[in-house]
Amino acid sequence: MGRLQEYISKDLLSRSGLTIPKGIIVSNDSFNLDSVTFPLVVKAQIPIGGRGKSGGIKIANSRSEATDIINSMIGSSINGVPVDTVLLEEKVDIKQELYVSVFIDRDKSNALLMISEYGGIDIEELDSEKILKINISPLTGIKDYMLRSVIGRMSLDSDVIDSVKNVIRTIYDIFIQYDAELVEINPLVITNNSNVVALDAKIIIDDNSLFRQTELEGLESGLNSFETNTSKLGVNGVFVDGDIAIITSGAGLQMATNDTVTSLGGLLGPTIDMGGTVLKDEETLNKAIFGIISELSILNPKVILFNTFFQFARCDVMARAIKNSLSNSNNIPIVARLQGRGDDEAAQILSDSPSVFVTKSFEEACTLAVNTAKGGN
Amino acid sequence: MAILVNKNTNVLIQGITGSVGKVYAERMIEHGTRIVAGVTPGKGGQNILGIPVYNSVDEAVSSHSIDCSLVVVPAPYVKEALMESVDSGIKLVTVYTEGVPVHDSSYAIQYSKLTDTRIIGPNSAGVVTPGECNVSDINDTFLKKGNIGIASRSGTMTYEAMEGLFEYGLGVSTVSCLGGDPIVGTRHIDVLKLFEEDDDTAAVILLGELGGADEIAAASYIKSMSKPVFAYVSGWSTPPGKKMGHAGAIASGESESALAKSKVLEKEGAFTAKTVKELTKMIGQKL
Repeated sequence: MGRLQEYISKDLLSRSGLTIPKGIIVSNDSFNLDSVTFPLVVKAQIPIGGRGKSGGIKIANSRSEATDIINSMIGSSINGVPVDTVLLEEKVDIKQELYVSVFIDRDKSNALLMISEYGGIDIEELDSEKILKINISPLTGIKDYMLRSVIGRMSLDSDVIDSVKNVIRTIYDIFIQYDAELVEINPLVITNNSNVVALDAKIIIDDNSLFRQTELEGLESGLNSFETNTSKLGVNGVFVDGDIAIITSGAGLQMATNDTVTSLGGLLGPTIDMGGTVLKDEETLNKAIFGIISELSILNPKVILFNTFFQFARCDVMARAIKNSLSNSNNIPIVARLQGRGDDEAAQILSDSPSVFVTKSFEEACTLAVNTAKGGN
Repeated sequence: MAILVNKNTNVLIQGITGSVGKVYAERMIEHGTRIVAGVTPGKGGQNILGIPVYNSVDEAVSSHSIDCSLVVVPAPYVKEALMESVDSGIKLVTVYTEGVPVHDSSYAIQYSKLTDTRIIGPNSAGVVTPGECNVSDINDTFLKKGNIGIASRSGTMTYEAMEGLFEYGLGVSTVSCLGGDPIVGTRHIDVLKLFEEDDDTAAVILLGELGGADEIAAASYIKSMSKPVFAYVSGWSTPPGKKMGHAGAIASGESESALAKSKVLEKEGAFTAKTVKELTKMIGQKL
């Protein structure tokens, strides 16, 4: 889940009745250009912003130009993200570009609708007085007076007003129906014939809604293999390219550990928050730690730092799980800060494992991990 | 008198027959929190460790006086569980469950604003006033009574802060973990206001993190407070665009970064630190 690709986002808009440019998807070298018209827009399908500036959007005026662009785009990588799919779209004539989005307003705990007559550029670059905003309570949903309020402050031609209102209503419906954190159309184009067309679309789905958004399952991307594999272990891994792999017993502790390691001059590597689920029994924990160590041994960081402070789970159980997975650790040095219930036993259990250093101190563990990564002790 | 919960607080657990619910009930009984009832639909009439279980919150409320509900039901059921306790007039509801869809949190929190129910969380480690009432996942045996209030996004970071305080012989009045989700029912500023009025609290620790504008709202209140506030906004080392741990911990824009928020807090009069250790050391030296 997370951020959907442009063509999937547009498909959702289209299925809800909005107009999108005519287009086809190409994801290998056996494509057929018989159904397309020129000029044609070729758009790399990657879930990152700023792709136009990085060569991810190109115009082809002929069949041979299109073929060249497609062949060079597929298999390339843009800002580090591999391109395996491109979207070929008809070029739409543009009379006016609008911006419109609905997203979760975390400070007001409801939805925020934003609309602007100055679409087509990154919304962060727009002056805030050029953006109209209206909060929508989930208790009321979107109402006519809200639409009148924003549309009334814009200078739109009268023949497109109903279409624009319909776009706003529709993206709000999609926002609710698909548990989206964000539905954004930028630009929403008004053509010379007064058609209203979604030229680009960005939809981000709330990962926590997976249990009821089964239709969208597996559509996501943007996760690398470390993140996908650790998520299968029931833990939350984030890939960062660096020296010190960090495994913590909680999300807040993870950020605190990252900050401390960084302040000591260490370079953050892949991180894992174990959360509470894998701590429920010894067998689950054993499996998770074994899997985590295996995944990390592939990435081969200079040191692995465990930082756990257990209120109810037991450190000795954790220590046994670490010990059981050492055969898989590729001899990467491990620093384990194990504090809380059973911490004395934990130190005892790992005392004859030369690649593991155990301490109860948060700071000592971070210092030692940083020194180990730097090549000292 | 402490804030939010005290020795007279009667507690209900929604989801008491589940594994998490049972563990909480056990701890509360062992350490003297007044757990009076539990709710699990379809399990009404049972007893868990001698605590009566009801099918609905309404039934529980008609047989007991209840001041606080702890919600530990699975994520898909949290929205209705919250609406149910709001409808039954419970004044404080704390949600331990993580993974609640953000639209559900938004709906339930807006719904609670129609009444005077306060929601803490979701994804909250809970609230505890040591020796009086513990509706949190913090072990009672690791707590020390004192006069420092804690308002935190995170449970595990709170453990570290308390551990640091104890080294200086300091303890806590009430600990309030607000939850790591992007949308939560109670924000730092709400708890700061309660601590400012609380006779048992002499100073406040604010533990924040990158993402959102909660700490900015808190900063605007801090300058009018008579009590010192010590703040640590975590996540300044998180690489841009990465979501680490908490669902809410991603900055959308420079103003939501940990460093930017820390600067605003400092400008408005809070003492700020860059690590937990630095924070507790600073408190130890000043108090």
